[in-house]
Amino acid sequence: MLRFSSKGLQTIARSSRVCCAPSRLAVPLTTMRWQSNPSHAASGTGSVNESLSDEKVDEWLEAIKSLKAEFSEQEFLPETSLAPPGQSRIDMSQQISSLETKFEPSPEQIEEVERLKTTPLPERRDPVVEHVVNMIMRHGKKQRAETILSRALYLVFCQTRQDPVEVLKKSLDDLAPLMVVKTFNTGVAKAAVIPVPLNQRQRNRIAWKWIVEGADKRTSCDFSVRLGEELVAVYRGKSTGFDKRDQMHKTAITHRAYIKLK
Amino acid sequence: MFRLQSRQLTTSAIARAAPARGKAQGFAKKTSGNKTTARRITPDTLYKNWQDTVHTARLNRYAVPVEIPTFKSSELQSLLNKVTFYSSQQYRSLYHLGAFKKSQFNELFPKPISFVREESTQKLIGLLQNSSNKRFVLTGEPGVGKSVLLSQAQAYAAESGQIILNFSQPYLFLNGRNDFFYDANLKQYVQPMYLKSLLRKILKSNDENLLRSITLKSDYKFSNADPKDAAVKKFITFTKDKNNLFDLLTVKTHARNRGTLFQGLLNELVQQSQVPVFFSVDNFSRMLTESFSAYKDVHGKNIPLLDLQVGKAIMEVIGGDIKFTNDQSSVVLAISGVDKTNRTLPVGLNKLPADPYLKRKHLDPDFAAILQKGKVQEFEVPKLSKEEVKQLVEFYLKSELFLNKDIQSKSVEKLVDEKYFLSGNGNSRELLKSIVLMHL
Repeated sequence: MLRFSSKGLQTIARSSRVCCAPSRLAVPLTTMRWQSNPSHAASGTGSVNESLSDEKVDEWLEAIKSLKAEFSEQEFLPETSLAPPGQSRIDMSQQISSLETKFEPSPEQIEEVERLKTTPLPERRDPVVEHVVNMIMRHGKKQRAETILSRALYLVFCQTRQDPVEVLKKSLDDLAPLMVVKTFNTGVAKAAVIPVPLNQRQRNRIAWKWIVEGADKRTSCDFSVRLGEELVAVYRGKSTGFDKRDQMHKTAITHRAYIKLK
Repeated sequence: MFRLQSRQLTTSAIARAAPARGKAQGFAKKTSGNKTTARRITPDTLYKNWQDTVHTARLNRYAVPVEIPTFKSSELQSLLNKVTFYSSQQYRSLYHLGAFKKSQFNELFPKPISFVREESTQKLIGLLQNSSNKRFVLTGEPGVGKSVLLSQAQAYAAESGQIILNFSQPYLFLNGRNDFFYDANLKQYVQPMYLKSLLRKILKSNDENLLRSITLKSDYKFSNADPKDAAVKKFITFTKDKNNLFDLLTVKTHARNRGTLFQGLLNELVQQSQVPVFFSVDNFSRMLTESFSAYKDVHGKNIPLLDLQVGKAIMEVIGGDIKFTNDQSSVVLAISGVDKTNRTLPVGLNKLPADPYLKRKHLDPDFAAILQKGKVQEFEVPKLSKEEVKQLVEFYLKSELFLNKDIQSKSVEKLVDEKYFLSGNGNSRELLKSIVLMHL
């Protein structure tokens, strides 16, 4: 440790020979530079190395001591520390803003912005497909659910050669029931069985449940293949889900008298 | 005491035998409560997993036909940057060679297509025609088109009247699923069942007249296993200059002779000088990364790849120990992205210095030495350029692969930009995936 510090002193002294008036902040930097390049130091100032003047060393030690005092007593203030010799303070924000270059949009860019202000942002993801993915998803594994659906839709595309997303939407819409009967407790002896209309999301959910039920009766060990086959069957109107839908509609029609229209 | 025990025993037995509520009692009918009924598999049933289903369900029947030119190696200049079909002769050869793989999305088109590229197709075929040392290994990232380039080279070879010897999947003779025995004469392990399918492949993928034109250079004698006349005729003999290679390939002999038969075939191919031989191995990285096969010897140790007859033969051809007499013969190897990687190939291609302290699974010095000895050159398959992506996207638009929302809302230039970006700056498999497997 001692040896290292004395060596550091030597190099500081050596560098002081070369650059006679070093600024206070540059001391550690020059030290490092000269340490990393000792051959250069030896060749340049080899003859004066031995004759070190004590005053110079004292001067350097003094400078280091004042720096230490500056940084230990008060926190680092770049405004004062980085100021050039003639000035006491500098304005940092002004310095930074002078470094930055202002972005100037070209006329074409301005024109494009104006043009695009009227057009709405396209939907990032299709809401129906997103809903289906969420219904496939188990244990929060969305990526897996997306892969299953994409592969199923690929099979649908290969068999029908239609846009598979549209096939999916059409088959969901075909299969989904419009009404469902709900039983309400009236408080008296007889419960009221009333048909209730479904919204689009509820319809899709019931249709998807039937599609998955149909798919599970199929042979393949791969869910995406079973699903693809079933989706094609629904698209061609051959699924067992249509019987369920008809049954549901029939029940709703028989109970139509209970619908309350205010 | 005894009475009590026996009584308990009988009640528990009755309790266990009691039928569930609502089910008929009796022994004649078997209850099928939790047993699922066996599902019948009809020709239309898709019963495999997804990858095998799309590969085998003949989905290309429904593909949209597009008018495109036919691949011809003599007219490559005019076919540059165009999507082509192969000729029917090339298809016959390539199907038997196993050139069309799963996960190439071949089911999207009526027949497998090939895209002629200047940087890969034309360059490689030019090298195969003019280079002095015709040993190449095709490298590149997964999905960039190494196997497709290899099949184009095979199509060129089939067209230009070369004999093609292709090993499409090295795992077929490395994974330990075939029968094998130690042949004391050859001092190697022979796999008769694998060799049978390999010989059939060679027979079916090459032109019969070409095989008939090569006369044998030595005599052969095999035991006869033909059920028609095996009782009468014990041996089949082939005499040199009289019989030809076709006779040798069609001989029906016993499994124990098949190693000798394969050796004889290889010797004949090496000695003849009239027809060039196109020797190719796809998924070659599987061989380089596993020094030992899954077969075990009598001591329970895994058999090294170089002790198997087929593995040894392939390595000798690559290293130049077996050198085909016809100097137009070429060796083309293609690595695969699915295999693991180690340092054998970079060291073998002199791209990395050999580290003697590495374990065999990281660097096999024997294989690296074989590659260096054969002076195998690397041929890196480049990614698609934007112009090539544009050509492909236009072809896919004609084949009606795109979703309606893409076609309606985007111009062709925008689609090309988007797909070029999504394909990882020009990976052909990723390009197709971004079109047909992204619905969200």
